[in-house]
Amino acid sequence: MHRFLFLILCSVCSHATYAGCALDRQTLGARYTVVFTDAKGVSQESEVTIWRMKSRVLWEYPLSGIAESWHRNVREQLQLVRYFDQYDRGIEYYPADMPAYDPQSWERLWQLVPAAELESLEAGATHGDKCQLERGYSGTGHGLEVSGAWLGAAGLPSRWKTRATGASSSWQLKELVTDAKAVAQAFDSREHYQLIDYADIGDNESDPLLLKMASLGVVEHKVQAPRVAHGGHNH
Amino acid sequence: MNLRKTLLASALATLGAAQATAKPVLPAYQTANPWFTEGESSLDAKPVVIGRKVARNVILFVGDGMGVSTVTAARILEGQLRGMNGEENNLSFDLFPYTGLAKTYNVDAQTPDSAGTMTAMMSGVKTDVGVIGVDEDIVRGDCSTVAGNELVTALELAELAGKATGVISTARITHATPAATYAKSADRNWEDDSDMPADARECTDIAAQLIGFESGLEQRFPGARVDGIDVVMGGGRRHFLPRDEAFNQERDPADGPEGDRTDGRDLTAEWQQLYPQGQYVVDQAGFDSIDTSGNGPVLALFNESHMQYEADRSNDILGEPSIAEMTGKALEILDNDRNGYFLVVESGRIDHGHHAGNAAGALTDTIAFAEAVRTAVESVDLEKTLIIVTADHSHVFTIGGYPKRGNPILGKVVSVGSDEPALAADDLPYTTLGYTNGLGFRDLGDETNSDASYATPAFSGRVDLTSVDTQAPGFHQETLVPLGSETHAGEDIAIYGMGPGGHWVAGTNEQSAVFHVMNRAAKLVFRAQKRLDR
Repeated sequence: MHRFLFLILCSVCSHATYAGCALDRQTLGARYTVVFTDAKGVSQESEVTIWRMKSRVLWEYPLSGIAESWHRNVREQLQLVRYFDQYDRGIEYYPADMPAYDPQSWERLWQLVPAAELESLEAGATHGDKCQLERGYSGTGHGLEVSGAWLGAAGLPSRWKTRATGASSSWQLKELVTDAKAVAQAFDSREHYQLIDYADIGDNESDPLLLKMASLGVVEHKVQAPRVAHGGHNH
Repeated sequence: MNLRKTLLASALATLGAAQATAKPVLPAYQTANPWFTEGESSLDAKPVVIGRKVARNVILFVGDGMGVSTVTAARILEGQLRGMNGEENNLSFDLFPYTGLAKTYNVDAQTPDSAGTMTAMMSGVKTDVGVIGVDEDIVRGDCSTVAGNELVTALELAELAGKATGVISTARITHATPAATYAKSADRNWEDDSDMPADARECTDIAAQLIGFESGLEQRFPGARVDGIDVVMGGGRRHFLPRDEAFNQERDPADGPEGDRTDGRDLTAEWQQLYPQGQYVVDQAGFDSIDTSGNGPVLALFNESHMQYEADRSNDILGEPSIAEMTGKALEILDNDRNGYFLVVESGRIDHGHHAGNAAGALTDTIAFAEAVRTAVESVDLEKTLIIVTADHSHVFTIGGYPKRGNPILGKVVSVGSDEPALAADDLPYTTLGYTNGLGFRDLGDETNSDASYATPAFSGRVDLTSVDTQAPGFHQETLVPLGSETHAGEDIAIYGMGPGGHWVAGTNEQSAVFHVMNRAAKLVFRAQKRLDR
């Protein structure tokens, strides 16, 4: 019953009031501090900002100067533009260049934790009210321990920690941006970048910058959406 | 009467003298260029063919990235798909009577790119990497160095000579190889205005040059009687449309603008205004409806960017014709011109399949390319048509190990007398095909888009392929040197010739000699100059 109510709330709360909070969860930004700790106890701190605007989601990695803009088109295909802020340039991946659309992968980009995975966890107590209303979650499974708190209005975690085989990742929300202009600006700020198709990288090998971008572009980022329970698709 | 005749003769002589001094169709800096003169003299040194006819028509087929190993592997794959062992098969152009080699280096690069190589083939002048239709005095990326370094291409000469002209590519029609037939640019990437830096806005982007080809030629050659390129087919529609959802022609507006232009110009509309009798199409249905009676030009832009890989073409939503279909349709249109025609056909994505490290994709496109050549051979008057098939450069793509006769070319090496895969020194099986560098191993199963390999980093080194289906379309071969993209290679590529003048491809040639083969076979310079002088 509780899970049923949760789903109903989520399905209508994009533009409606959630627990007395008139927040447009389709248009917002969330700034996180992320700490990775490996099995040897060595920690690395990073920052990630996630911007959402309708069918687009933008992940910014300020410390590495890379940003990724994902677009889910009307045919449920994914399109990606990978930006390199140091060079004002980017690589564009057409839908055909991308893996087949996977709803969970999209949800992981959109809200870090897919709804199905959230539902698989044990829901705890709530804290705060209106836009700050959050519910605790925890769970273990497949060698993974999860604990965190979920902001219902924003549809994002306020904090989230996963631990597996001695390593852990910890996400802490630092700032929630709800100003629609600021969100639009985040998406528009890179419009002037010179883009190249992924398929054209090989034809521009004499461009050392492009070679570097290509190498940077395919290096897996250490900061990834947290994996919960049954795992997921890392980007 | 005698006075009248004398005055008339004098007037005619004066008129003739004035016409004979019409501007030379090729500028002195092009004809004096050492590459150009070397190419001319190299043909002089070749054996003479008695009774050689002049070519009325010229078709240049370019398999982008189609090195000799690609030809061999595609030949075997095509044969195996037909149920043969494969090695004894022949691709269509394997049966051409004349074969030669071309040295592909650019002026400033040992391993070349498509821009410099196609410029060499089209103008007789080798040039730098990454520039289009200009000689080596250019500074790449510097718009101010274009003027005075533009080269005249064989397609332009054919146009000036009164022939029908066409250019087809499975890549964007503004991409390097097709662009080198009609454009002049200090950078191959200046495909539309949004690609150009602020200090280059004095130069015209490649897409705009295509639409303005007729007027551009008339400006450069006052008095020239030209009618523009008759058949243009390929991808790259985004470079012709404004960055505004209202101009989308295939993409749903909710998914953002299809076009890239920031100058507000809709070049497809401009083209239709220039050519009211012209036919503009964007999909298979439009292609099928093209009137081939030659009453107007054709502009076909089938995709926002490149056209689909052949293996992936059936996944295109609105449908795209094959390269063979495009070739056949173009020839039907061009053959209406009693002066003959000049056609360039590029298979642009053999190259991309190799860059992605996906042999299956590259070879499938090569087989489709060979089918296009077959279409031409079966359609044209071979007594009057010079057909050249070649590549612009090669790739670091190898056929290795000692597989037994008939071993699946996309498979693992199985030695003579054995039925099990051979094992390398690391006790792991290995494939016949491989790449020296690039993204390396991927196992994407039945994925038919070679570019669907972004998700994982470049991976060099060995993988246990025991349980991997290496013949699946989505298998990407192992590599040694990890790079974001596999590279071109610097070795010679093959040139195949058929028809009048085809014998001139024999021997080892500078790639710029291809221009001279076409020119001499069809007397392009002579005919263009003659028409200008009238």
